[in-house]
Amino acid sequence: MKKILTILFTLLLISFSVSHVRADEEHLFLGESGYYLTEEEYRELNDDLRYIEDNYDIGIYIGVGIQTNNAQSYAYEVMQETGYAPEKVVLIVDDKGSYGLAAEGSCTDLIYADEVDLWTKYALATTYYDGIKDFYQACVKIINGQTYQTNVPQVSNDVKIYDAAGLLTDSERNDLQIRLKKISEEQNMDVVVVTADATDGMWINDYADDFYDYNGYKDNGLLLLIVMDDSSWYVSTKGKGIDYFTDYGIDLIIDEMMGDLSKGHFYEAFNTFADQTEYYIKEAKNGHIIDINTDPVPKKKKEFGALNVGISTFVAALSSLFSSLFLRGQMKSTKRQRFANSYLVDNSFHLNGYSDYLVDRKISRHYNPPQQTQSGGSSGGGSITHTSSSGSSHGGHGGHF
Amino acid sequence: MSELKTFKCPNCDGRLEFDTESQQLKCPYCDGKFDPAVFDEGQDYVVNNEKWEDGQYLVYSCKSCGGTIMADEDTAADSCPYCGNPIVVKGNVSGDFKPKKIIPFKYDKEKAKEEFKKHLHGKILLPKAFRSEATFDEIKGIYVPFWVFDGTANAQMWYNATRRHFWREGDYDVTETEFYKLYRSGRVSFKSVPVNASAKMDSTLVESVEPFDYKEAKDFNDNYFAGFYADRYSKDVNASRKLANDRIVNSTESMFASTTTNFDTCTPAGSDIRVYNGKQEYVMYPMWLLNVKYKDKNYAFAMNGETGKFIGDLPIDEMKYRFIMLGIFLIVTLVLTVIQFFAMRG
Repeated sequence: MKKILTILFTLLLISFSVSHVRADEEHLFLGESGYYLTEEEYRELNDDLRYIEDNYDIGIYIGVGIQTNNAQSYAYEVMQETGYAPEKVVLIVDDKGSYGLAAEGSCTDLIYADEVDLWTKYALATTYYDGIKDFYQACVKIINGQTYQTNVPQVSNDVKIYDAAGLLTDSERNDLQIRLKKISEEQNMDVVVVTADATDGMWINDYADDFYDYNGYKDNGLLLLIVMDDSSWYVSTKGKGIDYFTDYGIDLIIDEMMGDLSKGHFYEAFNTFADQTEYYIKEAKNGHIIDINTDPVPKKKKEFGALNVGISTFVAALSSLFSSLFLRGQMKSTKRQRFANSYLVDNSFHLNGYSDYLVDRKISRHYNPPQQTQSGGSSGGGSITHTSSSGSSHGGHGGHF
Repeated sequence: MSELKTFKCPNCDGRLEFDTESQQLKCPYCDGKFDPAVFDEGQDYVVNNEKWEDGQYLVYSCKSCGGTIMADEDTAADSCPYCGNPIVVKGNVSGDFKPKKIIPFKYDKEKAKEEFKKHLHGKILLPKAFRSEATFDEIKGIYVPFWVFDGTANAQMWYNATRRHFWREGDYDVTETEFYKLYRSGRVSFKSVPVNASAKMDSTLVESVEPFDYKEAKDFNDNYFAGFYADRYSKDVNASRKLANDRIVNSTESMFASTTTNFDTCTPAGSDIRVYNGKQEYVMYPMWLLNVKYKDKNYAFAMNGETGKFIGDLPIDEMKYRFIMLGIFLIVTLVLTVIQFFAMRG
């Protein structure tokens, strides 16, 4: 009896958890998991879809390889049962390759009007991963294009430093503008620095992404946003910027700037940002992307300074000292003899007593945890991406100073 | 009263001198050669009038030229300052003063000059003018009196030593240190450790040309003195023995210490070394002394007459020295700075 109860209870738990996951957590469902997406791709896409739902109130649900005779009615079914977002899109692709699309909310007409386009985005991609991503990003673009109102300032894409918080003097701003523009042109990637007193109710990452997306910057690049009211920073990356600047790499760069940031030396900090950014791009173009698995971490070399002259001077003083000892030693060849080794009688050295007594033993322990080194695979490395309001992929990373 | 010995060629009455190349007494006039170990004409001992002068010198008259030879009481071999005729003061090489062994000169004056030139070679700090202006004030072949001692050291040695092992346990580095007390006992023998027996000779100079190889020593015969200078011993044998034994003790300590190398640290914790001296002998070892004058200062150089080992401290051109040091300092600083500068710019 007890056994039966246990089994029943377990079954109940399993069914509950499955339906729960399906209903509240999952935006993606696969007919045969592992065949269409790797576990990691699955997690990434699902996280991004949840991000979109949280940030833009757009719920997108995608099922691939679903066993059904009518994909279209399956799509309606899912839309009825799932999600609370005001804007909803459901795409179901059955195991034979037919699809069903359903939409709800203010943009329903727009979605249906672009149905063929959207389907093509999915169908023409080379991988399931790309197809799914292209599909939902196109959806976000359509819906947000209609409903989304960004609060970021509109500037020319020629502006590489936008100092709304007024942290820099005019000449500093000019210097940085010239510097960043030069890097942007040479590397064919936009490098932008933005400061703001506040983000006008937007999340800092949205603000950074939007500033980049809505001001016509290149498809490849990155943007550093400094927000003064809560002393936070965010780096948004796009296109190749996502690949070149991993989350780990961004942390390293900010570490370099942190001293200046916290002291309010923004000009110095932004110059460091420019130096590091240029270095990272060059390294990446040489096939060396700075990431958590890159071992050893090739930090941007420190600035040449007094310390280097000090090192040179120190080594030079040592060289002089040794030369002096050698050269002066050459001049002296007389000394008293302290030993009689030259007069040792061959084989006359005899040991007749020889003992090594162990008298004590001491053990000391020193706590020394191993260095945090991630090994193998891509775990922890790389860039986590999300879809911005304009429907494009961004990487990025933020924090406080 | 004192007897002087001179060296005359039995064939032509020419002046005999010891020839380092043939190791024979050689007559420069008739090329006659005589084995110094057995050569004895017997008739050449001359009894001279002898008188004290200034309480310091003994005065002889040269049998060859009648000139006055002044020598101090320790002189065993000399030559007439006028005609160069070699003499031996018999009283200082006989009886208590008779050496047991002598190592004959293997190298001559020319070799000493040659070695002096080589000695200056490659000495960057030497004043430039030294090579051209330095003049030989005097080059003398001297038989230096030595006491030589055999000694066997019986030693007991104690050391404190440690050995360390390292390993990891979880997140901990563990160091184990083992403490040992080491004991060594044994003996080691030394033969013919020489001690300068002449008060007139600078011991630093004499010891710097060591070692001498006692195995090359011949039974003493004053014929080997022909053409060289020699003094009798003027230092006490007991004081000298102590110096020899000090050296024996130091060497013994270092040899025992070399048996404790498989530890990470090892420090002496006590020792009992007793040196038992065996044979002690009075011997004559050959040495070339070169007095060099440069800018009114004297510089002493010496060459081991047996091995050719040449020593002597050289003057340093302090200006040049400072210049070179400054140069090295500046160049190294500059080069390293430039290298770092460019390395950092990538």
